Amino acid sequence: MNCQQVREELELLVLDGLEPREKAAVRAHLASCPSCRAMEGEYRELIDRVQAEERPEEPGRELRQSIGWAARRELTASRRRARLLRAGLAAASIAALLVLTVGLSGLWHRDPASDVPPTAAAEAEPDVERPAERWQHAGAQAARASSADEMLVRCDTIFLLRLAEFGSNVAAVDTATGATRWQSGVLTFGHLADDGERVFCLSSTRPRQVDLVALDESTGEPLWRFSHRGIHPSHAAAALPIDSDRVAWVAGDTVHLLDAHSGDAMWSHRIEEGGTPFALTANRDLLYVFGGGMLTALDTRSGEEAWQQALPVDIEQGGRPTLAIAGRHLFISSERGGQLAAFDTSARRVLWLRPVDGGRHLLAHSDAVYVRGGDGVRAFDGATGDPTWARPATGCGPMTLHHGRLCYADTADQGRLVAVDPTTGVETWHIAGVRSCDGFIYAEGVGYIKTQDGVVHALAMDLH
Amino acid sequence: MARFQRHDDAEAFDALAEEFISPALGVAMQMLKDRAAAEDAVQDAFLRVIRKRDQYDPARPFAPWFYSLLRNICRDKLRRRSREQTALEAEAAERDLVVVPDADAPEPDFPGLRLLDQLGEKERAVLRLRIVHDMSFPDIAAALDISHAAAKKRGQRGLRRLRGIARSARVS
Repeated sequence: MNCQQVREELELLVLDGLEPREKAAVRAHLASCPSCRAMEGEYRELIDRVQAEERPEEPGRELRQSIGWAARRELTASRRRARLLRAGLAAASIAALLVLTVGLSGLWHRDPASDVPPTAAAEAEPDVERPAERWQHAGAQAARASSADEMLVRCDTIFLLRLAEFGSNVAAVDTATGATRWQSGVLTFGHLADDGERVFCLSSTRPRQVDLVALDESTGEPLWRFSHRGIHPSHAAAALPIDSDRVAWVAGDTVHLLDAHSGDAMWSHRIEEGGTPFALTANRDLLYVFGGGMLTALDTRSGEEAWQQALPVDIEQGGRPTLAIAGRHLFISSERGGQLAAFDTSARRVLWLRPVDGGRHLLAHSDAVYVRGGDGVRAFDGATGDPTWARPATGCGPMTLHHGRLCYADTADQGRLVAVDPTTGVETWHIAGVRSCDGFIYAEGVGYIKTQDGVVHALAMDLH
Repeated sequence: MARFQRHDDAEAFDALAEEFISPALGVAMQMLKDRAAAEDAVQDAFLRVIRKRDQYDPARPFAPWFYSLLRNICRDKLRRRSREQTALEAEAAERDLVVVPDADAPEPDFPGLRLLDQLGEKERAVLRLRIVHDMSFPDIAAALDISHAAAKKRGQRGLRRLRGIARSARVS
């Protein structure tokens, strides 16, 4: 091949579009021709540049899940159809009932192999003694960097997501033994919340529709389902119970206040400014919604707008906004955002703005706000915005406060569960070997943490 | 796909979905220019794979069959979108209203910021799928409903054009 012929093929060579014989001929020429080689180098640089500039469309976790669920639903349905056909017309109705019963009971019975028996303690730890484990419960859903698979502890029950044959279900686990009390048959993608009588979760049974489902906390039976159409699952967040009678939910750009007993909408309020998703929090009689650059306060009784305030900084540029409230101070950040804003809800003005390296999780308490994002945990004075301390922390889990200790999981190396003094940021204890993206929960002498392998650990410990 | 077809094996389907979900999203985005609509289309396409699995010929490659399903779904969506827009405009004209763009409508790109943005739609589509999604030319041809030769030609022409653009940018 001469230079002219090779140059006609060079683009296809670097795009890997030549047949093996053509490729070999072009390569043979390149080996002896610096000029054509230089041209090939130019093309390869261009490809590198395109790869650096463009990102492939990465499917989100919700899309993967919904495809998986849809596939399993469809396969189950077609198996049933096939069985019905085989059973013959005469026996079809009886056979169908049996098949259906067996199929459904599989959803409601726990897999005996999935509950790991209690173990005494502890893998060997080099530095710090690990508390005795009362029990372990395996099979919980744990996905990195997801806020949808958290677990809740209410009195003597833990609510969590469990992987099931057809997707994920909410399960209730006994805090004393780690045994599954019930597993709901409702397919859900998580975002759990509870109000003491019901546990709420989100479900998506058809494209561009998200349902808020209420389950009976004592049985797992679905009580009601409220659907919001025209949105993607990533545009809905966990429900926010206001009290035992009312639950707020933001879906797309609409805030719904629902009767917690019936699931009927008491009111719905669309935020006109657009831009999704929104974040929601509540304080006394007002619901605070942030989205589209606006902070809006809604009267919980009527849904009417009490006031609306634009923030002087583009918080949402960093992804989904996060809100936290303590007293009259409302704090706003976003997953990967560079700003933390403090807002005085009484004076209705921005108190301060501070640069932060991401604000995936906020925790406001008393006169302080704690931010987790980027590569650390940072504390600020809630009133002045003065930074009080900062600690490096790898990972994505939320922070929790228990008995005057700020707790979080650090996933660096083998992982650690860390507790610090919230005033000084000084570490008071840690448990090594805990890799988790979830929040640590403490109740009645037991600490609960779900590790990245989907195992919930119940650790006997005294934080008093 | 053959394993899934023979045994209705959900894990085989998961593996198939994992392999094709990202390029499928890329193809749907090329056609629909809207992330949410593209995700819906991809989900529908995988559902059709399941429902029509008996129609799949295991002697043939899976990609062309899959992309033809996806393309049809995207075309349906485009037709529906166009009908809805026409109806909206007709209603607006009747009532003397101004049609406000749909909040869900795709946002325009910023032209000229990136290298591929400086190419025409056809060449950009091929190069994006080849370079960014690492799709083979036969798969690209199937996804865009063009011949294998046309896919290669567009890729070749696009890359040549990019080289010209890059060189003239260096000169200027």
